Amino acid sequence: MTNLEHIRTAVNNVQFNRFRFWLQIFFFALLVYGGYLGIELGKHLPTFACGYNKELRGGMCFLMPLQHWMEWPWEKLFSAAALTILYGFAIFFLWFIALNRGWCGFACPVGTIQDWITSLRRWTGIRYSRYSEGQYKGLGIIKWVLLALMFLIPLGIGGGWFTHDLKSPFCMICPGRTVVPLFGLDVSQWSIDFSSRTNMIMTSLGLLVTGLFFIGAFVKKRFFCFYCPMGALHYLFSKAALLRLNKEGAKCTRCGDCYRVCDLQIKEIADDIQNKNIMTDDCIMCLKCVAACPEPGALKATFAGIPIFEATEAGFIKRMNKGRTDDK
Amino acid sequence: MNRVFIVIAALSLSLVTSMSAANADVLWLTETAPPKASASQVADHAAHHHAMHSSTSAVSKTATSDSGKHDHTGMIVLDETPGKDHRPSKQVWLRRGDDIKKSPFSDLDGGDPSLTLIDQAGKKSVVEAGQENGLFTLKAEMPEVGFYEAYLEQRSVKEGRLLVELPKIELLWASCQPKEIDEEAVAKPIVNEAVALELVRIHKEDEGCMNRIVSGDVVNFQVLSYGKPVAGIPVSMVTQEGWRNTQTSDASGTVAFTMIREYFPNWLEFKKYHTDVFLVSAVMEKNESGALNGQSYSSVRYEATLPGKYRPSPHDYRSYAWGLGISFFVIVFGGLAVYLYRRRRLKPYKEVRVDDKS
Repeated sequence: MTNLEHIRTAVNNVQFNRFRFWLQIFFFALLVYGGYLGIELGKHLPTFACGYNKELRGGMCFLMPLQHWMEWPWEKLFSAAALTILYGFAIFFLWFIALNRGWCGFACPVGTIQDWITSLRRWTGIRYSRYSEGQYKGLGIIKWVLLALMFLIPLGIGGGWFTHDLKSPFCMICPGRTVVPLFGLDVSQWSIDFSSRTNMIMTSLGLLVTGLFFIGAFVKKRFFCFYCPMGALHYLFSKAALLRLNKEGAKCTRCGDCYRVCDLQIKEIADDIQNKNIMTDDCIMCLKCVAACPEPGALKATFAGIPIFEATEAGFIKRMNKGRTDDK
Repeated sequence: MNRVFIVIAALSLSLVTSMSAANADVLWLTETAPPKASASQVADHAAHHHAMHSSTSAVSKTATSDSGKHDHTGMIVLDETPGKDHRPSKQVWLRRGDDIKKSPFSDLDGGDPSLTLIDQAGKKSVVEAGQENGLFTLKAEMPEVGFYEAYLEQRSVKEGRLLVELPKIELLWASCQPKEIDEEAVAKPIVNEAVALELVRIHKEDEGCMNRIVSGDVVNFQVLSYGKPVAGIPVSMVTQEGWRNTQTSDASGTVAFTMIREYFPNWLEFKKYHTDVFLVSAVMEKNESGALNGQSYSSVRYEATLPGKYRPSPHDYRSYAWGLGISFFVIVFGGLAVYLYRRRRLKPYKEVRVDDKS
C-alpha cells in the first residue's frame, strides 16, 4: 500500500462526527473571535460571520454589504460604481467555490450554534422532529422568497419606494444578528427600536425570529438552514464549485442510512440513483451522508474531481462500532 | 440681608450677561450648508451682518448692506443629512453669532487669515479657502478614515485691542468597518501647538468612528494654549435650542458639560438620526501690546470656538425590556405550542394479540 493509499484509508475511516465537531470549533473561533488575533478575511464571506459582531469577527457575511449596495440610488447602482458590486461578487464567488455549501455544513457560526443546541436536546433525551412531506415541500419555498425580498426591498429603497429604515432587511430578521454578538457579550441587538414604525416592526420581527430559532433548533436539526437565503444564493453557483458531493447510483442499495442521518431530510440522497451530482438546494454539505453510507464508493466528496472522502465498508463499520464494548 | 442678596444677584447677573455678551458675536465653522433656495439672500444677509460687524472694527472692509432683502428673525434651516460623516470630502462654512438657529453665514473680515488641517497623525496640510455665493467656504479632502481638525485664524484690531478669532471644527470621515480604523489614533486628541487658544474635545477611549454624542452624555473639553492646558478660562456651551452653560476650566484645563435633551417630537415624527448642533467657546484676554498692519494695540483677546453635533439618546427610543419580553414570549409559548402539537400527534399504545392457534 502506497503512502497516498494509507492517507486515503485513514481519511475514509475517520471518526467523522468528532472531526466535524473540531473543524466547526475552529471555524467558529476564526469567524467569531478572529478579530482578537487580528484576523480579517474581508467582507465577502459566503457564511454568517455576522457584521454586528463588530470588533471580534474575523470576517464579514457577504449579505450585509450586498444589501447595502442594493440600496444605492439607481443612478449610482446602474453606473460605473456597480463595478464595486461586481468586484464584491467576484471575491464572494472565489471564497464560495472553494468549499461550496461546505461553508454551511462546517464553517457557518449560526449552523454550529444550531448543532450545539441539537447536542443539548440529545443530552436531555427529547426526540427530534421531522417535517411531513407536504410541510417539507411547502416550507422549502421560504428561502427563495427571502432571497428575492433581500434583493427587491433594498432595490426599492434605492428607487425611493421604501423608507431607509428598511435597510438590510434580511439582517434585521437574521438570528445571527442577535445570537452571534452574544458570544462577545454584546446584547445591544436584543432591543426594540421605537424610533419609527418600520424600525419597531423590523426589530420586533428580528426578536420573534430569534425566539423561533431557539425553539426550532431545539426540536429540529439545522432548523434555520432550511429557510436560509444564503443557502439559496449558494445553490445558484454550486455547479461551479470545486467541492462536490457525488453519488454512484449503481453502487447504491437504497438502504436509506444517508436519508436517516440527513439533518435537512433530503430524500433524494437515498432515492436518486440516476444523477451523479446530487446536491439539492437544501443540502448543507455536512457530509454526514457519506460517513453513514456502507456501500464502498456509493457516495463521495470530491475536490476538483479528486475524491477526498468516500464511503467505505471499513469506515462505516469503524464509525458504527464507535463506543461499543463487547463482552467477551 | 435682602440688600446683600440683591447685590449678589445683580453681580451674578451682570457677570453672566458680560460672559454671554462677550461671546455673542463669535465666529465659528460649520458643516451645515446655507439653504440653497435663498443662497443670494444668505449672501446679502452675510454681507449686511459683515458690514455691521466691520463697522465696529478698526479694520474696515467694503461691504454693501441691504437690510430690506432679508429678515433677521428668520431661522437658518439646519440640514444635517444622516450619513454625512461617511463621506471623505467635507465642505465647511463660516457663521457669526452664538444663536445657532439665527446666526448668519459669514465671510472673512479681511486681514491675513490662515487655514490649517491636521490629521490624526498630527500631519498638517495646506487648505485652500474659497467663496461660494459670496460666502467663505472651505473644502477639505480626507485621505483616510478618522478625525481631522480644521483651524482658521483671523486677526483684527478693534479699539486698541487685538482680536484673535480662532474658529475650529472637528471633521470626521466615519466607517462602519472597524478594521479600517486606527482606534488608538481616534481616541487620541488632535492638538495644534501653534495656536494661542484651542478647545479640544476629549474623545472616549472606545469612541471609534461610529459613536455619536447623544443627549445625556458628559462631554469633556480641554482648553489649551500652545498645546498646554490653561486653568481659569470661562468656557461656554450653547445648544441649538438656546440652552446655555458656562464653566471655568480646572487645573488640567478641563471642563465638562452634560448634553441635555432638547428633542421632543411626537412619536411618529421622531427621527433617531435627528442632529442638533452645539457650540463651545472660550475667551482668554492678555495684556500684550504690539501693532498689526500699522494699528497698535495694548491688549489681546483670543476667542476660540468649537462646534459639535449630538443626537437623541438611544434610551429615548430603544427598549431592552420589550426585546427580551418578545423573545421570551415566543420561546415560552412557542415551546409550549410545539410540545402540545407533538403530544397530540402521539399515537396511544395499542396492544394487538394474535392467537397463533387460530
